[in-house]
Amino acid sequence: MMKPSENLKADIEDNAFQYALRNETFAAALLDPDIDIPAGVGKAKNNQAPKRFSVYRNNVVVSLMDAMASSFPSLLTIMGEENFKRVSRNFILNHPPSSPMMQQFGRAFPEFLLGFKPLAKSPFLADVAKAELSWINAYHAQDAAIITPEELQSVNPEKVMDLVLTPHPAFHILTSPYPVIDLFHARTEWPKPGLDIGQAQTLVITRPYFECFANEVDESIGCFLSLLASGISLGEAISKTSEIHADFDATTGIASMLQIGCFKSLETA
Amino acid sequence: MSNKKMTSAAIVAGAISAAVTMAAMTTPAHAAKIKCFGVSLAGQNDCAAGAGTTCAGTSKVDYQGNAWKYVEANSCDEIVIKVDGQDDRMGAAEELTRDIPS
Amino acid sequence: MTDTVLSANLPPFSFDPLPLPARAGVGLKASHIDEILSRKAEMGFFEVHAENYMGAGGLPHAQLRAIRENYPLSLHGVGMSIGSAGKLNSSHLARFKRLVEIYQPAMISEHLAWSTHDDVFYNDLLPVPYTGETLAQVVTHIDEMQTYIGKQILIENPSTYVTFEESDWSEFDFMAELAKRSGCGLLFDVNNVFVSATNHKYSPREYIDAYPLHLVREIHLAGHAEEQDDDGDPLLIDAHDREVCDSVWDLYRYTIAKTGSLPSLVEWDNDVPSWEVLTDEARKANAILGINSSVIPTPTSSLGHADDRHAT
Repeated sequence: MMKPSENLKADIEDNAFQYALRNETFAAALLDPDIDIPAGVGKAKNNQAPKRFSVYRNNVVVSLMDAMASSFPSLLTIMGEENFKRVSRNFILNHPPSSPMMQQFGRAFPEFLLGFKPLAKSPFLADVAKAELSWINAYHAQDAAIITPEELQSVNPEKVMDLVLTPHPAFHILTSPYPVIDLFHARTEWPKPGLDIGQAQTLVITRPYFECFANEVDESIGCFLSLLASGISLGEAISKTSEIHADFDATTGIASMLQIGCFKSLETA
Repeated sequence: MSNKKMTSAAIVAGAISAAVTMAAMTTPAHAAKIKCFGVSLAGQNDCAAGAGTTCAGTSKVDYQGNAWKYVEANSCDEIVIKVDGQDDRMGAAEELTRDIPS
Repeated sequence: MTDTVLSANLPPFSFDPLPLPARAGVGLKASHIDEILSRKAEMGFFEVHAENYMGAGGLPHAQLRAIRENYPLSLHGVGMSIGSAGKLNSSHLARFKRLVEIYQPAMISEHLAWSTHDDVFYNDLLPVPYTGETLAQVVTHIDEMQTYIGKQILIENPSTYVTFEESDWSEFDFMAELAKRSGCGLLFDVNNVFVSATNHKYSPREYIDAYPLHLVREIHLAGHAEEQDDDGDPLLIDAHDREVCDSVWDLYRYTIAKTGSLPSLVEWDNDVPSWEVLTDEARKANAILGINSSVIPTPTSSLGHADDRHAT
């Protein structure tokens, strides 16, 4: 079945130098319209047929812009199609993907948005991008059982102080000075009347089974979950959160953690 | 000192007990969706997955693509994003006219 | 997060071997999956893009597992960049191999094209000049992929929009020679033949006559868009966004008359239609294969297990 001919190895010692040059010029012209279409590429010799090469330029740019639009539907809605296209085109040309896995494309987008001067007055967009990336990561995260109330209750009461929990692979938390949850929900609900862009929100994304959830928690619980996820013990996490947030209620914090499924089952952790 | 509670094993164990009761009383939205993936609303899965692959070309033409210069990161032309739902495209329309296909 | 973190982290499942039947299949689209599984839809086989299932877990894998339990599966890579001048991406090869181990697809295929150069992924199937040098390079990459995953792969003929002045092989001879040297099989995309033949002004039937059809194990069918180039000549684009056109059905009939029945996939990747419209396309292919879809039983006897799956 797989029997390359005997002389295959001999053939490949001759490196693909001319071909590498060809790919180099072809690739360069794909993303930069100021670079001439490579010589000898067209519909016949001496006929460059720029519209034909443009099919490839267009396929690359449009397919990547479509990829951005499907990964960042909330940003697309908030910014409007024309603005989103303009920004995503800039992003693509400055940060083309390196992986063939399109679900990973756009990881540099939050940082890009923060540094993109025309958007300097809309810094909240970067947090929306972070939330959308977290959502995608949660969607594709490894399967794992979440810790159940029964499981937690069965821990020896003398050992609960030292209990260290492992974050579920899909768990993401984002504490934002902006209403990041309302903005994230723009994908299904927009405009949002009465939205206050100065309102801080803490978003917790979980995927207890196969469906992702965008949960809102208050700041003290967000703090508690972040501390717990950082690997410190339950006792320490409660103490530290109480020091930072006088209104923190450990019972509510633990109940939230169980309900939204932030941590892995003790059996598998 | 008043707002700094002492944390002990007894308090934590008590909090766990109370939390388990509390968690059982308020049912989260996803509690019933145990390992069943045939129940999602149509279209939501696509929305969640992020971008997929393509092995096709496109007949949609990005007219701006061929004339585009990637130097805008430092441009001072502000893009105004409205979040109150009045008109989220306002402010950009004028600038975008320079991107008309050549 | 690195690439490898997102490579499938599941144990290999135990599946019945289900070879692709010589009848119509369709590309699996997320928007159809609930309907397919809940209705136990009749379909010869499904094909998926490998790259969409390279995440660690979650719904995509649960769905693909359910599909694989009930239907024959073909795994179609779109990002290996077999036609690259540079080396193949070793972490991508590893991810691909994991998928093959987990899902044990009946067929594995890739394209005669490149999409990565110097660590940039262009997300398009870019053309390869047909020279002795590129032939040797492509053969090396096919050999590397087959050896690494331990299976024969099929290579698909491309839709192209330009030609290279250095090309000194015909496409059909290039395909024949790369198959001969690497031991790969061929995936014959009839729409790509029509698109390229129209774009480069040759006869698609003469191309088919000259093609090494005895190496073809699977057929692709798709719709294309019609544009014009700078000189007003027709320029077809392999858009996979509409029904297969009559000329392509004619070429398919012409091909099948020579090859006999083969697994035949309808691809519809952009502006994805309803499940009914897609199955109508599959029915047209089945009719050409001499199969009346409406009376054909489901391809496997294991569909009855679908309910059990939800209960576990």
